[in-house]
Amino acid sequence: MTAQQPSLMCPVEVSNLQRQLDGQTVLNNISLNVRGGDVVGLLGKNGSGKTTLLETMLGFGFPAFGESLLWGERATELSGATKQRVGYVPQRDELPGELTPQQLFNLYRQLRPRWNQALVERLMPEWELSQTKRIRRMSEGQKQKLAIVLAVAHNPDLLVLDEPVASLDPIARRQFFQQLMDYACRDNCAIIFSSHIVSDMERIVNRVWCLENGQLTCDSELDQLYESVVRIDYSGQIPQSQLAELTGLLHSETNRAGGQLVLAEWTPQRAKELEVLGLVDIRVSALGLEDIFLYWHGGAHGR
Amino acid sequence: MVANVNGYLALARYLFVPLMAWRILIVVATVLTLAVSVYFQSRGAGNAIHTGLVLIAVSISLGAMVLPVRIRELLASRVFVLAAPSARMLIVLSAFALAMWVLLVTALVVKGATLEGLRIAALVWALVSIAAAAAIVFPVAFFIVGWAVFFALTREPVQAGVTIVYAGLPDLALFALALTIGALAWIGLHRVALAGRITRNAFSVKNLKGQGSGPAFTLFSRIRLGSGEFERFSKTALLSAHPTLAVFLATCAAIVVCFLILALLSLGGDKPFSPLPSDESFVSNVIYLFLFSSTMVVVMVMNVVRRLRSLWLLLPGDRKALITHLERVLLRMIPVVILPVSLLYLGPVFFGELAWQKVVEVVVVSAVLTVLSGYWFLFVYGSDSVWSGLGSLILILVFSVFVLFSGASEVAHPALWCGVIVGLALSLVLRHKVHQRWARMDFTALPTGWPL
Repeated sequence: MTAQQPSLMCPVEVSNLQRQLDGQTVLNNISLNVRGGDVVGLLGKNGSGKTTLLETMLGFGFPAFGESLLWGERATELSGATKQRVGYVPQRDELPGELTPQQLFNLYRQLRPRWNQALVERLMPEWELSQTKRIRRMSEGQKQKLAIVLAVAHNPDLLVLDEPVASLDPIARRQFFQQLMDYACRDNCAIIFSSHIVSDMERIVNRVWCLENGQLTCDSELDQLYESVVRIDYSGQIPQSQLAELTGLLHSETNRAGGQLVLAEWTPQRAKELEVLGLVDIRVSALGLEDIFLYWHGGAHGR
Repeated sequence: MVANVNGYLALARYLFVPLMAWRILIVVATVLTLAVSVYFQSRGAGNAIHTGLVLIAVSISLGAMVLPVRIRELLASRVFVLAAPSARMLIVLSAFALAMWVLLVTALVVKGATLEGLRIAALVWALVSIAAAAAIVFPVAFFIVGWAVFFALTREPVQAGVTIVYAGLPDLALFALALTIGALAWIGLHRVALAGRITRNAFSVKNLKGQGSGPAFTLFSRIRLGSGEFERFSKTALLSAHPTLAVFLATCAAIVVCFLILALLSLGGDKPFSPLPSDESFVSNVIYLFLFSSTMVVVMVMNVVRRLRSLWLLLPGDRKALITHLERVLLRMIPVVILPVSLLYLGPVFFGELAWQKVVEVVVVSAVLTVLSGYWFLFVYGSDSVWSGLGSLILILVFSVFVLFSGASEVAHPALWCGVIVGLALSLVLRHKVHQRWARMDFTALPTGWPL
């Protein structure tokens, strides 16, 4: 058996990951992988474990069980060369406030052999960031932009962004996603990012992970998700007891004339199943990612 | 009215109620001190309980030095400043609480409510009011000037001048003057706070520089990093920690300048360097100077440690390598901070006023205790237990007693060297524990902010 070449390995492989903080299980039995070229959106409610998952994936913390590998290396024991292939934007501001971006770039340039100064010089004016203003004098949005510049400037092969657009205005958000799309077009570059702004996310991701109470409830291609989670409007009546037994039922609403269902694991063949139950005039419509997320996690109109 | 009372209560709770761990420590320390005092009193020591109470009051007063930081935090909060009555409420509460505390402590020290006590209390209130206002508005400048004033006040000529002024003023004038100065300090603070001129960053480089925001205090930024892993670590860490380093260097410079000015002022007397520590004043000076050095080492290491999380993906090496590098930074900083302070004693040694062996002893004891404090800090950083707080308190006490003892002791006192050996042994044990702990450090749970 020959060892796999590092460049051909999956950027991220997580298997049976369990994470505990203060005796509480924060992540439970998570297995997933990211292939080169994937753009993954991580969704979940506040406190569902998104940040912990991203941080554990990058080796900031030790799993209680299972492991996270980056290009085959254990995340908590990454070599210098592998660290160079990762770009990370943390949720919290971790920039040294007394420095200016210029001073920080000078430092990073010496620590990152693949530093792309041309990219920095293009992005800084484009994102209206001053190179000479002290970081602590910057607004939250400006700091977030700077953190993104620092994360992408060494052309990483894996870019992990933890709520990168939370403090950005709509224009900056658009610029950020444009930049991300440029990035996604590069060969074998993988991107993972979490965000609550789902409408932005669905423009760019090709895969979606959903976390709920520390468990991965969905790991699906975006197109597959659109096809498998649908809204069904129908006429006719169906007893509540039978409705509850429907596989993948996320939401149901009935009125005198008929009702509405939201079903996961939908296939066109299941229309027959519904007709057998007595539903007529079945109309299937697709949902946006935000609606899917809300139904999935029992949000405003969820379970 | 009710809203006002509730507001005062909420502010008082924030300002004066410490964390649970500290509450326990204060109660334990108070009970222990009182128990020891009662024991000695019962064995015939006439003043033991009074001394114990004074010691407790002074300790609590020292602990209250953290209050300006909390007041500054509140005044820097935009929401708080926008609500002008809250700022006024905070300042009135602080001024009143300070006055009451000073009156109580003075009455305790002078054993009763006397006119002399009232005069002293008014003076102390005025001085502490000025100091508190300065610490809140200009923390960095206060830190530097505070050291200079402190050292100036320990000098005989300055003390004599202050005594003359103090004795020369009539009681009523002094009392009125003190109250006016104290009130002006709080009124000034109120005006500055309402103008929104207090910002959140305590260590503002701009305050240090006094103008603009040029690169004067940016150290190491132009140094190119070499290929060595440790070299990369230490320079990145120091660059990230540079505000503390800048404050440290500025403070060191202020102390040295202060000493030199005092030395120049006293030239021409019988003793060429009388303001510098002579044999008699060595004991009283040495503890502050070396406590300052070791505190600065711990503060700088803390700054590096809280940046360690962000360095995880930036620097090569696993956790073991990072802690080894951090340890090397700690060990290299010790001579950097202790040697400049030690140099101040070269003058008296040169002129034969001080035995060189004594200086060597103090330097060795300080270095060992600083190593011990550094390892202890790395051992407990991030753990929020009462034991870590209690251990830190004991370490500070041991440190103070040892440095004081080393200054006062005869040269080559065996107990002192035994202490040094025990300190070294403890450091080695702690080092082992530190390496074990940091090899599996969870960076997600590592505090990245300052502890206050």
